[in-house]
Amino acid sequence: MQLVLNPGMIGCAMDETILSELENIEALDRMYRARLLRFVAYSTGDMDLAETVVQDCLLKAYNGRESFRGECSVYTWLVHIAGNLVRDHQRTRKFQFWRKVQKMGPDLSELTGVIPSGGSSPETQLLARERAQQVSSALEGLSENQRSVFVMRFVDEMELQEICQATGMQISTVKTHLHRAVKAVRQKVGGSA
Amino acid sequence: MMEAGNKLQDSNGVEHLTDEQFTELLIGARVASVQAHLKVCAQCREEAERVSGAIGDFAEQSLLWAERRVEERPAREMERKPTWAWLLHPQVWVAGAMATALAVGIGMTLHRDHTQPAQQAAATAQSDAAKTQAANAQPIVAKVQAEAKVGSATLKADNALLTAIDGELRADETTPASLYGLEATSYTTGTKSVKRTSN
Repeated sequence: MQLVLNPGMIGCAMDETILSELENIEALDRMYRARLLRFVAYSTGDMDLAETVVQDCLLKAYNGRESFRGECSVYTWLVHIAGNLVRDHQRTRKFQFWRKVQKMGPDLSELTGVIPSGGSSPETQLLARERAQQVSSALEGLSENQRSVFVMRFVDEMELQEICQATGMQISTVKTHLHRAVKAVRQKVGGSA
Repeated sequence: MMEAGNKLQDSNGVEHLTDEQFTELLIGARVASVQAHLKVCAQCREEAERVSGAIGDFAEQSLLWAERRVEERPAREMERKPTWAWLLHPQVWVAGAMATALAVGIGMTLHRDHTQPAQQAAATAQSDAAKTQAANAQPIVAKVQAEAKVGSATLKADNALLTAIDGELRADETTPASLYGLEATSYTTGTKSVKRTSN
């Protein structure tokens, strides 16, 4: 899959589709759970936390759907809620000194045999998997903010303005995080920097 | 590739995209200088395609991973369960029964441990008291017997003294008989014989 380098701006108008998404919790879950799980899992590197946060996030969004003003996309709103929940959980965990310290990030090796062929040869699939793992390992060396911003921009394909809305960061800060993340990925994948 | 200031140069001294320019390219900003460079530099073009392709692979595979994860672990119930729902789990009842049995067992053990020493203490106290009583009993009896002996002798002596005093008093007593010249010859209880004395 080739990354789209110049996507258009996403409209944030409140319409019937958005309203129906928020009114039906099953639809909300079906549409956003996997994306949110990917975002939180790769941002935090903690699978247990990711599953808890995604569950809480969807429930919170559904219960608080009246407060959604339609100024951004539902996904941006969900990412904002998830980000706050991650911070809350991490703050709480600071005091759980008995908790076993472990990082259980997503493991792309689990994807063996899951990658759809799409007509590509086994060699191409293997190459694609290796490149994906290189990106994953490059992300491991980044800070949580850098990973979050990278995943939002390049994986979830959110616009910079949406990232600002979701994280509350200035655009210059977002760009700085992106720059550092891209540099790390370039060093790992590009092999020229 | 080496970094010279903000510029990246390869071993031949050819300039390539900096990290900032590379980021701008990936973000999708259409910077004229970057676009111009890409037109002439196959190396940067190839690198940009390789990195953006890798990121695309990562995005695709990570989404597949997340979707599979969601399928494997379906969402927990989104609606809040009723507060008594935990009672429906058999584990709760088993745990409750075990906790009760444990509490009763501990209680009985503690009770037994608590009563046995008390009973032993009571028995010990009783035997000690009996021994003390037995030990104290003999001196008391002897003391009482001695006191009894002393008491009877004293009683006799006291009685004798009282009789003597009484006799003395009667002797000095001015009776109507003596006032009228009568002499009391005897003074016995109940009857009195009086002999007239001559004046």
